Amino acid sequence: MKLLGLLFFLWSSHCWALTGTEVMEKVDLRNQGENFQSLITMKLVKRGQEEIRDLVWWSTRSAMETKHLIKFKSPKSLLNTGLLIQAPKSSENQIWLFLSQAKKKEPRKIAAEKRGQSFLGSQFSYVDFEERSVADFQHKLIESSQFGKWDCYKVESIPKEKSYVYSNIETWVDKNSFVPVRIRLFIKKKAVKEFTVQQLAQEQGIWTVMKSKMEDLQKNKVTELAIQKIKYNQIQSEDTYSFSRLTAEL
Amino acid sequence: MKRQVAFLSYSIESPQKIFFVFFIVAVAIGLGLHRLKQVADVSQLVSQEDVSYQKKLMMEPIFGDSSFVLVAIEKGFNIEDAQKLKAVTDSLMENQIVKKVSSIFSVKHLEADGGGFQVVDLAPKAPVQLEDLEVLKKRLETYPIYDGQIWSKDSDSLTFFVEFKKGTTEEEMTYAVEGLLTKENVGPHWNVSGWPVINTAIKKFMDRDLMILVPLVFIITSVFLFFTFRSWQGVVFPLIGIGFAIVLSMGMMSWVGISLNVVSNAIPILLIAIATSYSIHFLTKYYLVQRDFPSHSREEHLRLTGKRIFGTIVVTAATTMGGFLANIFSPVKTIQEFGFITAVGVAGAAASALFLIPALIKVFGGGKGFQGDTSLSKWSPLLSQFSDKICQNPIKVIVVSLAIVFLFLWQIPYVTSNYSTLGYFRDHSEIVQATRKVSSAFGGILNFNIVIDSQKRDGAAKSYVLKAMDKVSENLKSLYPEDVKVTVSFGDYVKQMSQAYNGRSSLYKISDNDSEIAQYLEVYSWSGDVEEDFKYVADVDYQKVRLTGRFSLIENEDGTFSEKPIQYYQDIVEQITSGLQSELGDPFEVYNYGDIEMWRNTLQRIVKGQIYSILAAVSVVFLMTLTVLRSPFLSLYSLIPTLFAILTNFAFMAWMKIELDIATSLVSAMAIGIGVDDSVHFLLSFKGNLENSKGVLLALRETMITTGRAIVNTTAALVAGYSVFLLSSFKPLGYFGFLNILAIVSATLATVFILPSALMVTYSRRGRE
Repeated sequence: MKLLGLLFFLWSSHCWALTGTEVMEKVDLRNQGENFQSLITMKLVKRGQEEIRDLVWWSTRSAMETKHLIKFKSPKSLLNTGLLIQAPKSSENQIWLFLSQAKKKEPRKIAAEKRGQSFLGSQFSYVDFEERSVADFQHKLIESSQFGKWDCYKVESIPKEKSYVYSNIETWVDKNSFVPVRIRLFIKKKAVKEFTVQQLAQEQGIWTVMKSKMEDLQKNKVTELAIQKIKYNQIQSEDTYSFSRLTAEL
Repeated sequence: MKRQVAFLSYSIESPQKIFFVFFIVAVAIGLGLHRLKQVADVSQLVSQEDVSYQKKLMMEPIFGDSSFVLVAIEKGFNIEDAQKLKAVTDSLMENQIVKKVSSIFSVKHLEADGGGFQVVDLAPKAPVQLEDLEVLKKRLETYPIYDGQIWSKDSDSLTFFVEFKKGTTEEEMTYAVEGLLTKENVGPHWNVSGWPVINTAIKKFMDRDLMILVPLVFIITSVFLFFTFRSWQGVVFPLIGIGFAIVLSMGMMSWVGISLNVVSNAIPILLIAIATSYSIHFLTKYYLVQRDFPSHSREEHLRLTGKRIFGTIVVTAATTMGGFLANIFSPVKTIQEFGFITAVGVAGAAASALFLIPALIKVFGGGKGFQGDTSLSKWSPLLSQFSDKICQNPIKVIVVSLAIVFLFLWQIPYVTSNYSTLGYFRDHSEIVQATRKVSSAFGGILNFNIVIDSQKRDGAAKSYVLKAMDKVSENLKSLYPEDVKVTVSFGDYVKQMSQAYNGRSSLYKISDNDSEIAQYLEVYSWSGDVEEDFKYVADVDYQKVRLTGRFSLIENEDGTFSEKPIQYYQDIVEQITSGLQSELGDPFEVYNYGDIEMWRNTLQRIVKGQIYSILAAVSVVFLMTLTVLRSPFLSLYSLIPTLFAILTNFAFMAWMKIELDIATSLVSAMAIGIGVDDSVHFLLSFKGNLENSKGVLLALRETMITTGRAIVNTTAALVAGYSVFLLSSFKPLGYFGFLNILAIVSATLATVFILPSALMVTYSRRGRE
């Protein structure tokens, strides 16, 4: 299960009479590109008002791990503040934080023991970006269902690992692109968050979620993500995901 | 007078109808008694229109309520107490009425060690071994902000406080915590306090006063009545009248939606004393008539009694009601309600004396009363001599009196006023002791709050704003080391973030760089709950930030603890507020709010109300006596004893350092209302005697002899009644009783010393002219 991938990548295919697991395998195997560099606008409803964050986001994925480098472009007070995430499939995430204006000029490691904790103050959690394999869940195709303009498979996934943050996940997968366009996340059988896609487009032949939102159903808070620019499969240098790039100015 | 006697005739001719009317009234009004509410929350004394109340109301949704239950665990930093605290914290957090618990097991900690920069639980688990305690202690020592909030470094105590959801009553708050502590079987070193607990204790003491003092005053009154009249009727009939007056006033409170509070709790005892004096007046006259006209029938005795006493009781009741009703001019609602309800009770007491007692006598007989009593004849020569002595030396008496008056006047500026909830209790009461310990661990319980409003989003999360606030905190602690030990501001959290991110305790300070602060706040929000964690110090969009702190209790030389005058604290707060305002300038708006300002304003209203109510009472009583005495000169003279009583009252308050507060402020207007009774009796009697006798000397002698007994008896009855207040659980009510006794006794002394002297001087000159 790769929720990060769910947000940005697309694989197009037509499937008939699939099981829940088969649907999710198709989601996992769709073309998501090897890496990307993007400019993303994140709109948070924070402290009672809307706040806009412009982020430059680099990401690369391999069979073993996914890496992200996220740098703040705006607001001005957060310029050059960054986050480096290493998400190996086999172990816990490693996260380093760099505050451009702090006295300490080296990156600071953030303990990632709370995977359910907010990601950049948004309604997304670190766990939502973790690399999980399809086999980590038991999937069940519930029904074919319409969500917005998309004809979808509705799949229920229950984690095999009891300690997983969510007790179950309901996913509406577009039958055409195999991009999840709606995901409902449950804790103790109670829906806590909902991810929905507003705009889906093909970029460099890859189905990409251009606009989406994550809603905290309990706190009634929303985070919206909009991709301003995205480039897939660029040549990324060795040190793209290094401390020197984390601390460098944009 | 004919009309008055006609009223009385109705009681004599149709007593059953009188019983019926009184019964119906008592039942109809008494039906409301079960709905009578008891309120101890001191905020009810505050006018809802008051700007301080409005500010507090406006700030509570932003920064939370300040009505916390505070618990201090003395020397509680050990495994056993910590484990119990963990259990208590968990249970409280599961309680539906609890909004927030702040203890070592619930607050968040900004991790600054090898774990990295992130918000975690300060103590996720209860310690099981000494090493766990050491780890916890190390974490607590990381940031100074914990000291005085959730532990006390100096006393090695653990502390916690509980905030409750809106709509939870103070009793529910108190019992939720106390009940849980009992269940967990914690030791006596777990001290519980805070305003909900203090107010609940006030309620308990109010119950105690009602349960113990009211029956006690009934017993004292019964004994007094028995020794006065020596007949069962002389005891039972007044008690029925007293009961009626109490039911009428308390029932009326319920019907008009007034709650029983610390002040109105005194009403039953007051009414017992007042109603007794009316009954004494009526029965004394009845028994005298009975003795003087043994051949007359019971009906004739009653008619003759009515003729002689009806008008006097009506006038004295009217003046007493006037005195109480004068409190309506007070700006303090509680005092207004007290004045109104007591006036209703006085009306009930007078009605009982004038209608119910005659009807009871008509049906059951009045007994013989004064059997073999020759006290009148014993007293007569004594009173006669006393009167003559005064009449021979009126100038001397006046000169001495004036000297006393000037001495008393000299003292008035030294009367102080204060408003302190803790001041309600005796120094060694359990609640004061617990509060002292809680206060010592928390650095005080009297909160102050200073808010900086930047007028724009994120405007208060700036370096110079936070530094200005931080400087104020430091100045407060260095300039007032006795008074201010704990302060918390938003700057403390920012300092904590600086230290945590940079990993150096030397960087526990506010940066000069606004962007650095913004970055700390941003990162904090990723792992912490900004709204919850900063709730007490900043609003959600950092437009407003707050400096909050507590004033400590002061240890007196005699080992007791007290608060300084509320004005002292408010002066400090206002000084800081204006200093911050001038430092930050426009567009910043700096203001303070909270209990201190509310209480200071209430106190100011009490003092203002005192002046209003004295002026109103004097005016009302003057007009009433003018109607009865039909002489402006005599009406003015009737005020001499009461004004003397008020002066005495204030002089003793100054000497004995009794503060003017919600209870003691009631005394003056009451003293006018009750105290004028003696002078009205005296002057009415004097006026009649002057018309019938050959001169002033004889008239005064006759007045002294005939009214002396009634004055002494009613004064004794009132003193006996008010003396019960000295046993009250509340200090102010004790003072209230003492000052009332003082006022009544001094009014009586003025009536028998100064009034005859003044009359002697005036009428002798008139005679010469």
